[in-house]
Amino acid sequence: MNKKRNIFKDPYLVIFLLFLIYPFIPFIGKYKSLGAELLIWSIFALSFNLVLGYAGLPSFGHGAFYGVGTYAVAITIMHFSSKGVIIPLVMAAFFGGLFTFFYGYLIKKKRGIYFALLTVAFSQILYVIAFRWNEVTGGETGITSLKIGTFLGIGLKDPLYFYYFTFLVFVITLIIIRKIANSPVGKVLLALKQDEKRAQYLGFNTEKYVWYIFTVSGIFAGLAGGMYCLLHSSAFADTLHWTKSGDVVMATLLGGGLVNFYGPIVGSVIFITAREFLSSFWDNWMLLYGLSFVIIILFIPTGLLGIVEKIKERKHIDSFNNGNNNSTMNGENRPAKILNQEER
Amino acid sequence: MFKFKLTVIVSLVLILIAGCFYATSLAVEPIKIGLVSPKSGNYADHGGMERVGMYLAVEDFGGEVLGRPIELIEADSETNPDIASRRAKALIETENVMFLMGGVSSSVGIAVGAVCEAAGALFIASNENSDTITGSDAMKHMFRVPPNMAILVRGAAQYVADNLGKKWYFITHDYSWGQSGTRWARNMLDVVGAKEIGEVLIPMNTRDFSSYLLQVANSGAEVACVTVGGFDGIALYKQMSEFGIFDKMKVWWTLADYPDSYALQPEQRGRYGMMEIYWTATPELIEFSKRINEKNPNAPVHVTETNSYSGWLGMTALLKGIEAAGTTDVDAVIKAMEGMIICDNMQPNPTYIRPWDHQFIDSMFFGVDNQESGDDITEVLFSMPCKDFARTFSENPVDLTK
Amino acid sequence: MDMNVSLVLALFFNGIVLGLIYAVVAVGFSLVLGVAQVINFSHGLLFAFGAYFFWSISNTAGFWIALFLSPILVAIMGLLIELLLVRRVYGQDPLFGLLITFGFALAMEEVIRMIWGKVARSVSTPAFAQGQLFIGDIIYSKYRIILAIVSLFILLLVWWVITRTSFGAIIKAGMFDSEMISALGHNLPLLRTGIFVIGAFLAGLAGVIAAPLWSIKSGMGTDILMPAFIIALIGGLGSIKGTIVAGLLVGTVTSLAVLFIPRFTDILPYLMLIVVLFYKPKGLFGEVTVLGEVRGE
Repeated sequence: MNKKRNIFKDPYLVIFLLFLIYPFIPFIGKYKSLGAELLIWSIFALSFNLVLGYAGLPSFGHGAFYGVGTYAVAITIMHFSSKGVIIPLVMAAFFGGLFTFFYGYLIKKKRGIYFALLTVAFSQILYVIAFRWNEVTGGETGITSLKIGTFLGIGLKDPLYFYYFTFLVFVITLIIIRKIANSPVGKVLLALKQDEKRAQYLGFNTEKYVWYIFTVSGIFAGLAGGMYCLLHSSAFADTLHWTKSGDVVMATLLGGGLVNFYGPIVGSVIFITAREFLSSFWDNWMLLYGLSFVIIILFIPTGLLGIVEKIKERKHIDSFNNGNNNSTMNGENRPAKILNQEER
Repeated sequence: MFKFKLTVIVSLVLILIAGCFYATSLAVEPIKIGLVSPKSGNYADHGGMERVGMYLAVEDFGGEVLGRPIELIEADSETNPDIASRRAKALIETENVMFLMGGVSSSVGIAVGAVCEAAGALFIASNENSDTITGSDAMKHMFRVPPNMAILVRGAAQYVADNLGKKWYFITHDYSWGQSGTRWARNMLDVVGAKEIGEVLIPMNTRDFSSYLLQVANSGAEVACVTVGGFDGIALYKQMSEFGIFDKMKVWWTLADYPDSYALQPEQRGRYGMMEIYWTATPELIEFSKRINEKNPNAPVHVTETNSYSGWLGMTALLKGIEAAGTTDVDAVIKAMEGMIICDNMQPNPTYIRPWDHQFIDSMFFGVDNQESGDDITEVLFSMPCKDFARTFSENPVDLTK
Repeated sequence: MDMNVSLVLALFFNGIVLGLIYAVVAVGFSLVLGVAQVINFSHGLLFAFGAYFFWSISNTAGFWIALFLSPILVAIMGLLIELLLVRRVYGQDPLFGLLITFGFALAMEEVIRMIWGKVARSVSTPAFAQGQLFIGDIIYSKYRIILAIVSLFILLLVWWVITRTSFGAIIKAGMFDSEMISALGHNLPLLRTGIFVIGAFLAGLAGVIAAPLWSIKSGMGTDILMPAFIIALIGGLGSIKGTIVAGLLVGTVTSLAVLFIPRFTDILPYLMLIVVLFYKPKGLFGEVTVLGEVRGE
């Protein structure tokens, strides 16, 4: 009896079902490209949150690995005329991971704002290269008019087919990332985030864990970028600019990525939909967009799911902490020490 | 019995009402045209002007075509190909827009063109000048309004070599359009007897040109051949004046946009340039300037210039095409536009839409900026028809009619 | 590529001018970062507002009034930002300060577009500063030379205040240990506000003097933010000397690099930052690492 209740309370099932029937939801279902974009962003935000929410490291240049993924797919299709989509996507994940592997090694010792700055610097270097290396990346013009291949013989030009293909990739990614987050590695990262010295005294080589999770995060960020390229049949340098990295930080925080595994998904959905609709109605929508950053940081830094947690705590309902459904990362909501910072 | 009668009557009434809605919805179904034009980014002010032209063209058509009202939907391209192509895709997918127009930036034009080609919609590149748009990047579903860089450069090159100087230094905006201007100027070196002294590549969104201008000033060149546009172009023009470049050599802007000259203080000006249109060229253009001013008193410029003119011409051509085709079927409209001749185009030469590369062919004007205040800021030295300088089929083996 | 000596010298001077202007912007940023431990990503915005105010006021009231009034207006803006936004994130994760000022800057950039339009504006150089100077083979614009001198003067003035006055001593102490400052009886909140306002004033002033140089467009704030940030960090937080040196370094290197790798000169500041942060995490002359400990250094 108890198990049944748990299954329905598992957000995983809800998310799975909602996205499964998305194209058939009235009003919003017809925007299938938007749906695919929500899924892609969710993958990106989930991978990003492994670094931000679990390890407590503020990576402010994650867009670079996403962007690397887009170009990996574009260049693979263009120069190696890939008929399918699997190989380009593998390349996207590979290169995303490659860059994070090397860069992660360099910065695995850094913490706090220095970590953030170094990620920004690296992403800007990649951005400038992408924006100016006309021969390879198309420079400012980017790479357009890509001929997207087929997946298992099914053409992906139809937005509906593409949506379900994205859904498939999303589900696989979600399962893998969740496994990692709930594994002992995930627990060590949370410990590291709370108090690194203590984790070290317990015998963990925290730097290796940071390096590991940074690399993993890059693999999936690259994959998400690759999917984005397939969705739009094009790749542009924009995705690597540091201001775009700010978007994923915002989306993750908004949903409550700091305190809940599913926060990034919630945040992505709200963030992307709001941006799409807002920008089509109001020319000066950036005003609201910027102000929303301010409001979120001031009033709901632990995000929407953080508020949900608070409410549940107040009602003393033992909802998510049931052993097998542990989606909350720590039971606490203390904005002051969310990230891995040493006291001054 | 009563219930049955009531049901029948109510059903009939409902069907009648529904039928009325259906009929009215058919009758007033507007024709939607998407304007993917920059409202921000490097070409924001050009975008503003081109939209003014487009709206005026709709007005000239009486606001409707084929008995249906015309609805213009604006989307900010942000001078960014990524964002522009997403917005174009959204317009096509969610609003069923089959006709799109705009861009200014050639990269945006190529990106939006690709989206339209894939979706079977029609795109009019109203202000993009890179030769590749009707060349290597040409697409069946894309037309281009303004003269391309091949035409503009070949039209000016002989005059420049004969009158301004034979030692050329290239200043190239480092993206597709800028590169196309310099490419064609290079092609003309041997033809007109000029020599290349050097080149600097200006990255997009450059703030400060001092390093580049120091190189140019030091080069011993007689002519600076410049292909840089938008806000970057304005900054470059200003800084050229600041560094006294105009005293050292002649400056030839391969594509001179009026708003860029107008943005400078009179004493800062001094460039030569090929323009697509100049507002004093015909009385109709002067009249059009008045209308622009009325419609948009806050516009950055008060006269007809390239962007507003090409926006008007592109929209006019599209509407004429729909009218001639008698339907909004995209393939039919494309067929109708190929080979079309537009005489009432306010220009000295009529416009001919070339069927095989979808390039509009009309006139161009070469002038030099003066230092007057007011609106007449350029002396037109000569004008010529574009057809003498357009690429021939052997030079540009593209056939979009296939 | 013609690489004669006069060209190299001209580019070198050019780099110095650029570097000095960047340094004026960076110094305000560095001070705020060092003393208040806030990463103020709206600093670039203040620079932009300086330029825009200057444009509006000089069109109505003339050059000199615009010159004096614009930085003051920007300082007032800085005051409001500090009171309403930044105060609330003191003591919290620096990332929050970054995000909140970043969001604010995005919003206000849009406000600039709403007020002044999306068109680029231009201001002329003042009449007394127009024209070129000929130094041997090199032509150089008078205005840039004046600009370099003015920037240097401003920087030296700030340096003098920080290192030679008692006010400066308090500021420096605040960077090391803000609690102690309160304990010694100084008003820490007032100090922090004061530093922020000074930083804003400097940014606004930089915007005014740079306005005739580069076109005034709404994105100019975001454009200058990264260079300022990089220079502040390379130089070392709170060190005026460091900011000047770093500014000159970055300015000259990127200016000269145009001769060798014209396409990728923009990468250089970031590469320099990475290298410096690895070997000298406190920056070249910095004395504090208040932004998180760096393991093993």
